[in-house]
Amino acid sequence: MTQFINMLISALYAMLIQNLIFSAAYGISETIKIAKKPRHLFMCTASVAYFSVFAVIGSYFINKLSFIAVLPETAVYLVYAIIIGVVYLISGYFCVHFLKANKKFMNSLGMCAFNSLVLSVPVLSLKTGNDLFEGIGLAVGAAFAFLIAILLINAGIRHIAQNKNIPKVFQGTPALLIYVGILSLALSCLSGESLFV
Amino acid sequence: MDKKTSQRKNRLSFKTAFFKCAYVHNPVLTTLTGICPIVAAATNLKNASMLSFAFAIVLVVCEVFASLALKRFSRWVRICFYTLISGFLLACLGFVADPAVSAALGVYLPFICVNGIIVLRCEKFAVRTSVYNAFVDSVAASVGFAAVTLIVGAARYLISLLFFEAESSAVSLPFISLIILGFIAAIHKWSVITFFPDEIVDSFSLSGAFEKPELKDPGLKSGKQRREQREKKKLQNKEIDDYEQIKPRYTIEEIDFSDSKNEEDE
Repeated sequence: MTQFINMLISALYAMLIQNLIFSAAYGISETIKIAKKPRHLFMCTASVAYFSVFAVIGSYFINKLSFIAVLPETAVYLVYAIIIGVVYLISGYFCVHFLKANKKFMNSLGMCAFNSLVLSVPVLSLKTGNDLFEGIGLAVGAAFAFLIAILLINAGIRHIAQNKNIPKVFQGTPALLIYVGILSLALSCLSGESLFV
Repeated sequence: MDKKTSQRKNRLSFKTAFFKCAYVHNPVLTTLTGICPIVAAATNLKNASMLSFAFAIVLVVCEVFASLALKRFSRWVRICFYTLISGFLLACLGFVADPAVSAALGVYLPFICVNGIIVLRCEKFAVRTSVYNAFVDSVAASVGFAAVTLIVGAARYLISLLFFEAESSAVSLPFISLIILGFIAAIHKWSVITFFPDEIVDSFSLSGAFEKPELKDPGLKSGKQRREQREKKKLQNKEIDDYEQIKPRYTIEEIDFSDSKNEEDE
């Protein structure tokens, strides 16, 4: 029960209190990209959760090996990237040969596997000293943070696209960036840090 | 000999590559790809230059390697290769880099290995062209990335000096970079629209989402739409040709006004 509660706290922390996308900009490009065309929203969220969870599980067991402690940080991140790569290749092979997935699906799968959000989950888990359940909670929380960020940005895109009062030069990408910046500022306040003091 | 000349003709010049890839279609400002390290880690010029340098090395090697050896693999396998190659390079760079700068960049330096621009440039360009062209394109894209990163780094440092206290945590948060990036994107858009109005800038709009971009050239469309557009153009050209055949084929210069002039004089 305690493990489950820890997992839940970890997920809520990553999702709301310190939204990984707005507070640390992990996977922000992919979030904006999907928010522009949210056709595969839930598939992408599920893929992010899937790869994050497997990355955490893989990294948890890899971290127990003695040689990992000797390696420098950048090499450890490379090992995590390899874990994600292996999971991606196995999943990709399965999707292509058994599920007969189309090109668009495979492109989305690649984008969901190799982004800074997925890679950040095992790294944060290592840095904060999470156990396996907390790590899984963090992974699921990261996926939900991704979903929340997409929905928030998408709602903004609707208004930006319809608003004709925006100067012509700011229409489109510049307005979107400023909107995401203001969102990021708003959600940073939830972390409890004193920003302008 | 013919093959060589055709290869020379197809060579991408640095000028074109810089104009198209680094300026007009800057990957950061137009498609918002790979902005994670810029937004989070480019807090001053030193960090920004380190990020740009690492990114340039990774992109050049990845594009050249993709053009050399990855053409035979399917797309979904290639994406994995890019991450692993760049991860390996960044791990090597971690040994050489200044420890203070590496510490300041934190996880964002190794996270370049999953940067979207690498996959984008390799897939859209490198695997479809020669090694030389891939090299030129990678240099141009790196310059585009570096320009934006350095501007954001410098602006962020200036803002932190002018408006925030030294110990304020607000400077390290991504919202400042996002707002600065928004203004840079606006200036970039203005410059492209003002000085090069013929260039397609469909990436600026939130195209596909909720609005239709107002363009002279509709840009990339689906295969069916492109075919229809080509047929329409053919028809239009045919109509123009028919019209050309009907109308008298002389220009104003060719008409001899001498007779009429003489008549007027008389």
